[in-house]
Amino acid sequence: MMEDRFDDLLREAAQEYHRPPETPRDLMWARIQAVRRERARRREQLRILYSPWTRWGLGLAAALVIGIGIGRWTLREHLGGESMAIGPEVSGLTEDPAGRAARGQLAFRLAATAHLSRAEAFLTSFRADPRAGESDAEFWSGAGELLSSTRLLLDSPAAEDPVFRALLEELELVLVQIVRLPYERGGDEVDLVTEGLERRGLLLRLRTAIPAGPAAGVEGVL
Amino acid sequence: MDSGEAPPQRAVPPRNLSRSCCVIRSEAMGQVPGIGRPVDERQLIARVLDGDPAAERELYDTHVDRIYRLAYRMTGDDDLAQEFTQETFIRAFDRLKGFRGEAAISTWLHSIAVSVVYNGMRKVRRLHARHVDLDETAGLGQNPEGAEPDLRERLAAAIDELPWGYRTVFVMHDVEGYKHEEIAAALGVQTGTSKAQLSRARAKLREALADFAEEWAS
Repeated sequence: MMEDRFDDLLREAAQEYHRPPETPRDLMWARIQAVRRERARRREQLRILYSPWTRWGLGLAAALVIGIGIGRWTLREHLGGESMAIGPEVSGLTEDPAGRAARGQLAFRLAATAHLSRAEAFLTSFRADPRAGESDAEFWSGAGELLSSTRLLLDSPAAEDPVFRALLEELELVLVQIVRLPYERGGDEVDLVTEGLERRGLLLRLRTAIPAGPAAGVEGVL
Repeated sequence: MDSGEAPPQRAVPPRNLSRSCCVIRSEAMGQVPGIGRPVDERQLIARVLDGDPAAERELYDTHVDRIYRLAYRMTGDDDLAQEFTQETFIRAFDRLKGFRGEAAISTWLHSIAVSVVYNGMRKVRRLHARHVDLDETAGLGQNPEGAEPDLRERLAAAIDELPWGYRTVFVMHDVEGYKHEEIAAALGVQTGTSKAQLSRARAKLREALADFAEEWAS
């Protein structure tokens, strides 16, 4: 009986526990709308980035660049030391085997650059709002595709450069963590990924590895 | 969720509520401003899914008070309460397509809110643990004036000390007046678990305030 009365007293006193002020409806609504607009804009960017047309376009461009590069390289091998009037950049290149290998790698590096640009856009979007893609299947499929491409590049001659290989390995690690996020519980894992991203300075390194301008890096091959 | 520390379940519509609760009634779900009559929840959701901004605002206005009050009671901080309320509605609008209508939308919203507050407070506690100055902690728990704090202060401190599960049920039931069915649905547990948690929470509070209870009884 006394216990019940004391419980009543507690309940009454508890009404003062963190007594809320009036709900700031309009303020919160304005912020909600702003966040939703921003997320929708970013989703649209990602949708365009991962649309089938963009993928085909990037794939075709990479294939074209690699094809032309390999074609010109093998043509030079065929003609031996004969001079080719295919442009000042190519005729100016050295003939030693190391130089030829470097030019061969360059073709792969061009494809890799297109991949790094996509990875940079994806990670920038992820870092800005790690939870934006939580309920977005396209977001997760995009992360999965980036991971597959990264692994393919790791097995290509582009990864023979130790600095470039280290960058791809770091990228692979972060993408694995992101791809695993839907299977992890709680919000800590997202924080771990973003903290890891900052600690490694991966975005900065990606941006540094991507040459400025769409034609950069192509001069030596085309 | 027998342990008071167990995290809330994922925000899935519970099965133990009938479809009849899919109509918002003012006494249970809050009055829709400017309308003053029951609103067909399915119609409202359908309008939101069709991209009607007025419907979005209507849904928000219907539920925001209870969500904000709960978030404030659980955090004791206006900024955090606002942030968690906003995140609850952002997630709700994002995931509304997946809402199957098996329970009231307020129940679904509350389950999202409880999850958002739980995860948010874990992060806040972790950050506090990193940044608390040792000199400051030495002074915690001491009453600077040397006077015995009154019941409300001691009760507030005791509620803060409750494990998460006990505190959530106590605040929802004894402070905000939710029914056990609503609490159970929001937390994804059985009604009996909610009742048991409340009973244990009260027992812990009585224990924490035992000296006060004796004085009061005498």
